[in-house]
Amino acid sequence: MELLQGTLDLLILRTLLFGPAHGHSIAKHIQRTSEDLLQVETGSLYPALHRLEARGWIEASWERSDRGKRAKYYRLTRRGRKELAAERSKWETFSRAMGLVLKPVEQEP
Amino acid sequence: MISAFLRKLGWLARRRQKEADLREELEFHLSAEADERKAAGLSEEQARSAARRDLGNVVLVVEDTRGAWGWMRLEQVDQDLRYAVRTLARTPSVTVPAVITLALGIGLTTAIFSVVYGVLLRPLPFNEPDRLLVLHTVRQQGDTYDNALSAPNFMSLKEEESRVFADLAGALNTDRTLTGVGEPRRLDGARVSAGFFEVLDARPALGRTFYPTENEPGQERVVVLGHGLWRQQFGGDPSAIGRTILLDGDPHSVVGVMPQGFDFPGGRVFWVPQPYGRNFFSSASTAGRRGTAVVRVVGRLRPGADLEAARAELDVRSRQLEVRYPETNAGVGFIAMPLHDELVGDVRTPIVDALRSRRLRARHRDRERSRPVARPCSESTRGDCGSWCTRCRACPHCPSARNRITATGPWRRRTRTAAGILDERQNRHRADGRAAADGSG
Repeated sequence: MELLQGTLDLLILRTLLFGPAHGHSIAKHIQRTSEDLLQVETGSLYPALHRLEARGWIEASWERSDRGKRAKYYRLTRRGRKELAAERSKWETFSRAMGLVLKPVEQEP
Repeated sequence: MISAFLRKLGWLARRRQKEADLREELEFHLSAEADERKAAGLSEEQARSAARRDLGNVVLVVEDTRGAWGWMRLEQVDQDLRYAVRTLARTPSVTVPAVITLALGIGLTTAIFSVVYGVLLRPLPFNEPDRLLVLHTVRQQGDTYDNALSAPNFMSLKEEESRVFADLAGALNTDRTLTGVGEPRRLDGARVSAGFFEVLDARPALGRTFYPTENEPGQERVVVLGHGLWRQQFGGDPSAIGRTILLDGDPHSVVGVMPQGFDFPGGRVFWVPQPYGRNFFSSASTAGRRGTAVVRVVGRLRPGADLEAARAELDVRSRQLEVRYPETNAGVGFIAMPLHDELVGDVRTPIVDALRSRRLRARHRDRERSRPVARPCSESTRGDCGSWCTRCRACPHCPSARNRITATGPWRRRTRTAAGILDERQNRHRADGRAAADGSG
């Protein structure tokens, strides 16, 4: 299933709430937690990560991964945390509204 | 916002590092992906190519990610510039003339503008400079003028209540030797009357200007510095106010610093109050004589007054002084010129014009009116007295007098002009010629 425009940022921020992670593990986490419904394209993941970093919502540092290689780990900044809250409530409002409009039509008595 | 900008700027500086990081990051992604596939049971080779397939077009990923760094546009501009330079370098026959044309055009325009700005457009460092007039002394004798007034004449004008001038201020160029700090230096300054800075309405950049009492004799010596001198001597330190400098060996305390550009009456770097009582200078000194024009005088017009009114009043004043001090002031008048013209324009021509049209006419009028009763024409001056002699109606020798017998009333005589005199002479010659023709015929 393809991601809706603009939702990748929210997913990344939400994933980083659990702690620092590198790009690959972020993609895998999103895939796993969505029960493989959401596929994160590498072609959009890295631009999104760098964009969020440029905005100052996440920050990066190079650390040893569990396999002993150097990997770039991203973590949420305080601003990122605030943005996540805002984005999330926006999304909830949006999906509730969509749900209201799309719910099955009740049979007229 | 700003922090994001700074972060991007930092990235721009470490751009190579950033590129390498991105490549390493993607490399890590590939190997992590491959490891995962291997764990799922694929061979080394298969896992690698599957991971590569999954990652897609690496160049595109790199490109897109770079776009997120936010200085893509800058990079494109840079590329365009390089391209432009390369193209221009390839066609020097077009480029060289174009560059020379541009260089000359821009250079010339800049040069002309700086001159015009400096001379004509740059506002004077005073408030309402168009209401400032500079006073000149004009002498009827020899049509000469000075851009100054004598000290006693200045004081006479300053002390009299004026309807057109709010106040007059005088300045006298002087130079002093600055000692005590580094090499002794000769400095151009001005000794100024009370109200000098107030008339110009020039405010100090720092500290204050002079109190009126500081022009009284026997006061402590104070000095106001020009901006340049302050920068040179005190390195632009505001604590210069209150410090003491030695001018010609006398300690002067610095009370103020003028703003950049203020050097009135021209090229001055310091100002000191001229100590004076009733006279600006001791009347015993040369500079104190009524006949020696040494004080540069500037006046500020009262609201509503204009140049014409100022000139009219100065005419009246100068005539009063002529009567009171005939020895020094006979034939001496004062004329006001706008300060701006003074600083930038040709003052000589307008002064001479004004001098001719106003002063001389008035003088001639006075002369004629006050001329004693007829010096009768003698045989020897016959015909030549016509231009000045207005009362020799009785003189039988003077042809112009004969003509004038028919003139109506005294006002007619007072308005005699050079043209009128010429007419008379011409008539006379014609009459003489006719008489000669009659005689021969």
